[in-house]
Amino acid sequence: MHNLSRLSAASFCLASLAALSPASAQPRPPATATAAARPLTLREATQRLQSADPDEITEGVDALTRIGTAEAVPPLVTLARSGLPDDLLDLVVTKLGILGRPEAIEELGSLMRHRRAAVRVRAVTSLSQIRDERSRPLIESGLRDSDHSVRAEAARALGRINARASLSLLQRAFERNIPEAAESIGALGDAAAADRLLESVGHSPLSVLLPGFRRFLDRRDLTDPVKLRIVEQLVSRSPTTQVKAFLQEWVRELPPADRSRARARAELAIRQINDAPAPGASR
Amino acid sequence: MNRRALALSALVSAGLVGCMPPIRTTTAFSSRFGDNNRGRLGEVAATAGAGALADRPRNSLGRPLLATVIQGEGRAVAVYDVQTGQALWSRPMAASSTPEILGDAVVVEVGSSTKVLDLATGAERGHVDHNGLEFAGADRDGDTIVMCFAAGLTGGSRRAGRVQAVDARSGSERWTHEVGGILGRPAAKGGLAFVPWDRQSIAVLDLGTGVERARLRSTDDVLSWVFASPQGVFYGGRGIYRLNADSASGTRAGSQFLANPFEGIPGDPLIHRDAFQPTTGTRTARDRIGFTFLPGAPAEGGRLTVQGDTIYASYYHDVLAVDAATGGVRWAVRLEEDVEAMELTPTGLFVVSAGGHVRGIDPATGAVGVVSQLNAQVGAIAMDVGGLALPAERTAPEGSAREQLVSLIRDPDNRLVPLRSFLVTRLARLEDEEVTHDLLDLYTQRSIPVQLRQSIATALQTRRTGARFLVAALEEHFDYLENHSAPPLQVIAPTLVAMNAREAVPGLTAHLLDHETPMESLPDVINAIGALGEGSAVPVFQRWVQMYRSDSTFRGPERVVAMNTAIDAIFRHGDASARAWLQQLSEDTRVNPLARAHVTELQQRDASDIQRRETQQTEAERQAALQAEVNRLHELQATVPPSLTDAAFDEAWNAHLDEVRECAQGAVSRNPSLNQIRVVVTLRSELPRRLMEANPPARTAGADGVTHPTTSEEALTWTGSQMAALTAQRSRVRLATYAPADAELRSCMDRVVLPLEFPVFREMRQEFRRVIDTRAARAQGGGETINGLGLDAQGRELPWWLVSAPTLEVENPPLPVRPGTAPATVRPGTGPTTPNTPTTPTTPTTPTVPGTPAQRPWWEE
Repeated sequence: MHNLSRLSAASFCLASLAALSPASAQPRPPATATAAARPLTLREATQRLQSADPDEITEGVDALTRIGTAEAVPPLVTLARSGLPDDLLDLVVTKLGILGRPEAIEELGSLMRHRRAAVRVRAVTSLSQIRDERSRPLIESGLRDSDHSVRAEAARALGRINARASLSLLQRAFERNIPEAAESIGALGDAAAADRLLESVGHSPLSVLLPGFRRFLDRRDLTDPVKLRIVEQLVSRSPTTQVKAFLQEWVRELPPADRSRARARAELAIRQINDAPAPGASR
Repeated sequence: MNRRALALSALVSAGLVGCMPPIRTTTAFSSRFGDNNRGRLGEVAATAGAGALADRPRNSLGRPLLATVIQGEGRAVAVYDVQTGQALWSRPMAASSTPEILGDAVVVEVGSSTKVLDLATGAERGHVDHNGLEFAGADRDGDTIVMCFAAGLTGGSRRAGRVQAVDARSGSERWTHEVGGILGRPAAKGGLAFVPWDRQSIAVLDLGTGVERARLRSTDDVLSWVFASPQGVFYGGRGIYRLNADSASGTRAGSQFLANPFEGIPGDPLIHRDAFQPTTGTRTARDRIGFTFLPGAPAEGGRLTVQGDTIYASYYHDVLAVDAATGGVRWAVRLEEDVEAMELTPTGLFVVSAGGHVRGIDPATGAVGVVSQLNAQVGAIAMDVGGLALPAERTAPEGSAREQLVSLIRDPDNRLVPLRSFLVTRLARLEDEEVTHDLLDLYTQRSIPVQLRQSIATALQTRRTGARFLVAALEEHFDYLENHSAPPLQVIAPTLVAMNAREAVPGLTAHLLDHETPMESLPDVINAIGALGEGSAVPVFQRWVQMYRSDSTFRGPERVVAMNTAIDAIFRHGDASARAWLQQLSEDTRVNPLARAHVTELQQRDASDIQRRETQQTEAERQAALQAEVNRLHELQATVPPSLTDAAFDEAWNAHLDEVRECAQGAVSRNPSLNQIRVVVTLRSELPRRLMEANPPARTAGADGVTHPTTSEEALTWTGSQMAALTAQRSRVRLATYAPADAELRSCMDRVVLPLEFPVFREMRQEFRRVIDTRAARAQGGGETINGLGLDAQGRELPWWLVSAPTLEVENPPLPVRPGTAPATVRPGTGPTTPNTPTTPTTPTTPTVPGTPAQRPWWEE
């Protein structure tokens, strides 16, 4: 221990001498290099946030994200409220999501009312990364946003967080022309939801609907009869090459051991649907 | 003369009468006829009479009728029984005016003549050629129809008119006047014709002879119509006058007058049909916009009244009842069709549509019912429906007058947008709180045209009640899913400020923080929060500015307006710490440069405001000081007397008595018989006029010789130097003369007198005379005196020149005594000298001639 102390002291002296040498006149090594050498402490990272240098701020944000504890959230919140330029604010919002701490929910909720749509989109994404029931209603509020990208991300995020309680809202959102809601409906909905989505065949573009049906068909919690009905209804309502291609792709990705009736029906439809578009068929 | 001759002459006379040509008299429209004669106008008003409204039609058939021109290809003039909807007759003719029902006749213009038709059959009784003029209109009284024609009714440079009276049965002319002016539709009543003339006058003619009986001329209004009713004769333009003796004033104020309470309605209709606007025989927009009313009973002076105190307005398919005094809407209804004609009777309000539907409206409630259907396409309609009953089945308009107004405003008929805008202003006048809600609701309707929306926004901002509705509206926010829009914050926010609705601050703040609030609305929202919240709003603004201070959201000169508005509010309502915070903001280079510049500008403006106030304060103090000095100057100038008093003169004179005495001594020693020395001193003031100037000069020359407005400092300097100069000013001796003419005396006295200085006075010159009595002093009562003279009766020490023959203490050499000389005259108030006092001169004697009275001093002569 004593020798170790001596060694540390010698190292410290050598380091000090190095600092005083003419070589110390050279520019300070990049912050990342310093960070790579030793992770910043919470205090150091917080101090970086107060710098006027954007690079140091970034360093501090990254460091706090790596620290990842609840104590890392307040400095980031304070930073977000300090009036950052666009890129730094975007970074902070993103990192709050990566942190995934519920302590950031309130600030992310406030940021969902930021006038810049990009901030709101990131706030939705970040909220979806925080596994906390309080996130769901905040994400739902994104469906009401005037910006389509916010609405789209909110719709997708609800699917990602498995927000079954938001199903009816997603259905309303789909009817209000938020196409991304279809996929989330497919991820969350039951047979009734599938039937409701099938009602839109012929009224909404297949490009919007099919991702939702795919999610329905890929789910393991849905029974074969439900999936069979989906395939049957889809084929009967829209016996088009687009549906055919959709079914082909789905069948192709099914496990070989799958012997479901839905698969069989899909294969039948694939054989039956001509490549040329049927007259009057909806696309 | 025998009976046969009598009969023959009677027959000839009758024949002559029958063949008598119409009267063409120039006893009307003369430029020498006196107008606004109170007596004449009172007479004609009395002659025309005023009575109760008849509860029956005016036409000879006694049935409610309307005359119209059937529209379409087969044009015809028709008369209908309004009660039954049946036509009495229909005559094909190319009518070009509204057919008028006049007693038992119908008068209508057809081409270049005006026809008189039989009311019952439509048969033509006669016609009157226009002779190059246009038909203006007609009216009837008794068996005479009076018609007016004019050139220039519809424009053009030619101005000519003709009024013509014709027999109602035959159409034959009774009298005619040609006029070098434009005549309008006349009225007839009580044997008189009332002819509007050049929109300024109304000539009243005897209907039988055409002789002018009176003339009314307005001096402050345009007279565009006249009509006669059982209630009297009425005339006017935008407002209504009753014709009576008061009309002689020629002014609104002096006449019995009622202004249109619903003025400003789009289309700008007069309150009665324009007599100078000929009718066309077709449907016109003008027919669909108008007013109707029934005059009230005559009253002494004051405001003219109308029946029910209500005037009715029609505008296409909208009909409104309006309070004649206040303009408030009593009721408002929307009919199924446009109104082509409207008439008010004591029993009801009746309207006719182009499709021939006749409807009756309850004047009190606006309840509408169908009277009859004419089954024809009609236009150019005249009604005579007095006594017609309202239909039993009527539908009342729903809701209150306010709700009825709102209903009209919601009308999607784009023809009515101007009226809807007008009604919005009328709605906004109502004090009901709910009107604020109505206006807000109207504003948010997507179907509202832009012009109307602007009217609503303007009206909303005049509201001062109903803040709770606006505050409630703030609860609404944009919601894409529910298809909700944000409330119209640009309208609501300023209105809330005007209402001083502080309870709106939380709702407004929520919108400030709502990203859906449109950028263009933010300044209004921020201003409202600041005005209503004042200092308590500053932290919210600071957080908001802080959030966006470096964000691209507010980059650019247009987008930064909102942020700068918040900065303004912080600056205005914040304390020292808020201003320090702004100072830091302006120094941070990461902050939006336009926002930083705005902070700097605010600070500079504030500093210059402070400096300006300080400068103003300093200048005010200088002005006050200057005024005080100028007042002192004025006081000093006031002390300069017009002329010098004797006391002022003596004050200087007395100070040099010793020197004067020496000179007098010398004179006496040279001339022992010298009794007196007379001195005349002429003083010259020479007071410069500039020293009496009251105020500093307006301009002062600079060092370079260029003048500039005099500053306060310069004025102060000027005032000081004026006072100093004035204080130093003296009057001096210009001339001194002495008697006797003793050169040595003069030389001696000049040395004393000429250098003397006296106070200044305003006159140029002034003379003072003094007499030195060189005889021995006659002191009384002992005691030393200045001059050895003594005291007056009151014991006051006497200046030596004020007492008769004052003496000077000079040593007088003894005079030789001549035998027979009179004893020395002792002046009153003096006593004998004491011989043992060597310095006391002996009383000189004045030699007298025996028998002559004692000499009086020269100044007593």
